[in-house]
Order: sequence, then structure tokens, then C-alpha cells
Amino acid sequence: MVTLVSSDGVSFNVDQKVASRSALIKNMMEDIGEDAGEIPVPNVSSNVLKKVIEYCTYHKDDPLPQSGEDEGTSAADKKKSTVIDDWDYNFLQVDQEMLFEIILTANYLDIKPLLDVGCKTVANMIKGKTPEEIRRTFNIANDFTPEEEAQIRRENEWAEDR
Amino acid sequence: MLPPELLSMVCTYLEPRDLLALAETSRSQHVALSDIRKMLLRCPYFSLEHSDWSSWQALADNYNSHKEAVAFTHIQMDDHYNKPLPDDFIALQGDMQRKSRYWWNYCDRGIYDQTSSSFVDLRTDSGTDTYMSKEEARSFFFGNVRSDDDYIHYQHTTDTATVLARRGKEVVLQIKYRGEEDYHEFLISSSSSYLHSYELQQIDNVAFVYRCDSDEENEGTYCVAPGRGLVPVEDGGGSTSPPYGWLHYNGCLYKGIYNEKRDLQIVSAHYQDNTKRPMGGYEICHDERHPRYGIAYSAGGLFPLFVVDLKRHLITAVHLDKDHLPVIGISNGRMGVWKYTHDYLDQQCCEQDKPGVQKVMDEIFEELELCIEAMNEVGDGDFDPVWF
Repeated sequence: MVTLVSSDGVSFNVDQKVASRSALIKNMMEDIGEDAGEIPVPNVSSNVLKKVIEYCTYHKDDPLPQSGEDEGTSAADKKKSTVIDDWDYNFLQVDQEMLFEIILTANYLDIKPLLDVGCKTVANMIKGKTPEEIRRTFNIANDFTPEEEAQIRRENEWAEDR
Repeated sequence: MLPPELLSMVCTYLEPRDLLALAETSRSQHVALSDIRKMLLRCPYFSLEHSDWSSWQALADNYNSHKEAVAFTHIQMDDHYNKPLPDDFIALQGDMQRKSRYWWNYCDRGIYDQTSSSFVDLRTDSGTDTYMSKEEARSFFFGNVRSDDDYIHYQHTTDTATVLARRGKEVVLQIKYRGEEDYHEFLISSSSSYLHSYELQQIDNVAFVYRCDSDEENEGTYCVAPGRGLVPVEDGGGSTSPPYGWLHYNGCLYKGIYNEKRDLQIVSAHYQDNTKRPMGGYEICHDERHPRYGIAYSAGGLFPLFVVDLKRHLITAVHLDKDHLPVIGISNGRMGVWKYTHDYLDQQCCEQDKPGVQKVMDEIFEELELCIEAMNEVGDGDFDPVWF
């Protein structure tokens, strides 16, 4: 077992196999050895770390992702699919702040499958939406002047459905 | 929103129109996506599958270095006679359109006969690959798109089906993308006169339409990418040669033309301008699984004449002859052609107890001979296999 300590001081006892889903923690454990003791995770709050540990526990037996692409990578392999497994889909049905925190944590802890599925989830929230709908979805303030907005719309006119 | 480095990861899962919509939301998004946006505005036809990169950001960055016209170098391809295919052999098979049109095709293990759903195995390692039957290939996607109108051409790829049809006094282009309920329709001509000629080519999800009106006032090449209307295409390098077909890779568009020596040339083409004299065979296509390779087929589309490596900017002739069926593909990272005599293939079919494929072999060699005879006639009897 290894103990992960969140930024707000909460400790989580985690199986080493679960913790190893994070490449960062896996490397730290290998460097420190068996007596890893407490590993601080200073950038992650307890509620987010709890969710990330839940993901790692569910996926603890999955094969680790391979990096890099070879010459023979086919178009189908290369295609960026936004299909998400049911469990992952349900796992990421959280509020937007939590979703972004999970993605940032996955990036920080180097948990590539969680980072990928998080980015897919955000991409699916953008797909097919107009700029105004995207603004509403992500609470983005429209800081363009009316002139700037008209100019950009003219430049992008070709991309609109006809 | 997310910091820029994570936003770029999200963007790898988005289509061009979604990226542009995102860039229109605020100044910070506009700045964060400016590279991608510039590239998309300049070059709407690429897809990540037709590129060396797996992210839009990488492609946008690298696209900027491809402003100049690219020269393709002719090379000699490795050829092998009556030799087993290597264990790592990847067949260049063309696209789904081709698969659905013919009753046989190349596969990674040899020659596949759709009718008997079996292949003659030209490899020595064991394997039980399966391929699409005739019915599966021909109903792969097109079924619910076929127009009741008087259709001129139809093409389909894995994700897109396209119909060019006469309807009343008009000629229209209908495109349906996988996953969408309805098709999109574009007016190509307000005259359905049979004096006007048209060609259609589908590359990935982009449709190219070549229109050649009898009065030559309205000649033009156009294309439609998802979410776009008709866009005029310039046929490249100031050349007025009719295009034999189109390829695109890394955001660049290329046109295939035959020169006076009947040698295929691949030249850079550009968008947003008018073209001249669009006509020809249009038998060039990308390999569906590996779009970095383009294949130019003989008239009728059965036999490969040239293979183009769009990543390395190489072109190579297959050198067709009536005594050898060429099988083109990649092994150990190199393009090669494996050539087989009728006797050799016959023997393999017998040993593997594949009577269906054996019968197809007879027909293939008949077609091969006819194809070369036809090319001789076109060339006034001076057919030189070196050019083909």
C-alpha cells in the first residue's frame, strides 16, 4: 500500500497497483523503493483525488498504454475516435469544474487514458455547437467587439452549413 | 476553459467546423486556436488520417513549411517474380469504391475473390484473415443514399457516400456522411443536358466534381468538404492538362496528369481558382488504410500503373505486362511489386483447393491482356510497357 496526501491534507491508502496507473507516482515509487510512505500530491484537492483514485481502481487491470506510432499505423488506428466506454462516460458525468480538475490532475499525474477520455468528453461537449452555444456551455464571456465578431464571422463563413 | 496545452489535446478530437466555432467564442480562444484556424482557412481538405501527424496543432505547424510546390521523384520499385509475399506484407488495395466495383481485389495475403469469399494465400506464414464478401462490399454504406434520380456517378468511402444525378432540368450533387440522417445537396448545373459531361471523385470525406459544359463556358472543378459549399479548385501549376485524379496529404492537394510520354506526374494544386478542361479517367485513389499512398489504375480501374508515396514524395511505375499479375504493397517500409504468372497462381489455387479463386484467375489474366491491348490501341500500337 501507498499513502497519497491531497493538497488539503487528506490521506488515501491506495494499493500500489492502483497508484501505478499514474506514471508520475509509479516513477516516484520506483525511485523511493518499497518504503514509499506518504506521497504528497500538492496540486490536487481531496475530492478530485478521490475521483481519480476511483478511476484508477476500476482500471487497475487494464493494459498500460503504449507510446509512439510506427510507420504502419493505419488510418483507422490513427483516427481520433470520440467513443467513450459506458463506465468512463458515467464516471465523467460530473460538473464542469470537477471535469476540468480531473483532466488537469490526469495530466499532472500522467494518467494518459484518463486524460484522453477527459479530453474526449470535453470535445463531445463542443461538437456540433454554434459559438454562442459553446459560450453558454462553458460560461465563456464574449469579449469581442461587434466589429471584430462580424469580421471573424465573415472569415469563417465558408464553414457554415448551406 | 482548459489551459492551452490541454485545449490543443481536446482539439485533436474536433472537426474543422467545431474548431472554427470554438475560435469564434472569445479573444483568448481565438488566439489559442489561431494557428489551427489559419491553416483550416487556407486548407480545408485535409484530415488527420491523410497526414503524418496525429494532432491538428502539429499539422498546422508543419503545414506552414509546405508553401512551395513539391516535386515528386521517380524511383524504381523493387520487383519480385513468383516469390511468396513477405510476412509483413501490406497490400495497397485502393479505396472502398474500388472494392465495391470489382469482384476481386488485393489483400494482405494475396488475391481475394469476393464471389467465393476466399483468397489464394501467397504468404508462407499461417493466417486466417477474413475480408468483405461481394454483398458486404457493395452494400457497405451506400444503400440508403441512392437517389431515385437519373444518377450519373456515385462514389463512396468509409464515411461518405456521394451521388451526382440529373434531376429534372438540373444536375445535383448529394452527399451523405456516416451518422447523419439526411444528405446534403448542391446544385452543380441548372442544365441537365446530356451534352455536358461530369466526373466525380471522392477522397476521404471530400467530393471533387469535374464539370465540362459543351459550350466550354462553364468548365470547372469544384469540391465539397463537410460543412462547406462548392469551392472552385485550380488544377495546379498553371497547367491546362486534364486531371487524371486528385490526392491530398498533409493539407496539400496534388493533381495527377499524364505528360506527352504517357508518364504520370504528380503536381501541386491549389484551391479557390478556376480550372480548365476537366476530363479524363480519374482512376487515382488513396489506399483506404494507408492514405499516404496513392495508386493510379489502368483505364477500367483493374490494374495498378503507378504508386505514389505522398509522405516521401516518390512515384514509381508498376510496369504492367500481360504475363504477370502485379500485387503492389509495402514490406519492411518499402514499396514493392510482386508479380505472378498464371501458372504459378494456378498451382497455388490447386494446392490450396480454391477452385473459385482459380476460375477468377483465368478471368483476371484475360482482362490483363485486354487492358494492355486497349492501351496499345490508344497509343497507336506503340505501347511500351516501360511507361505502364
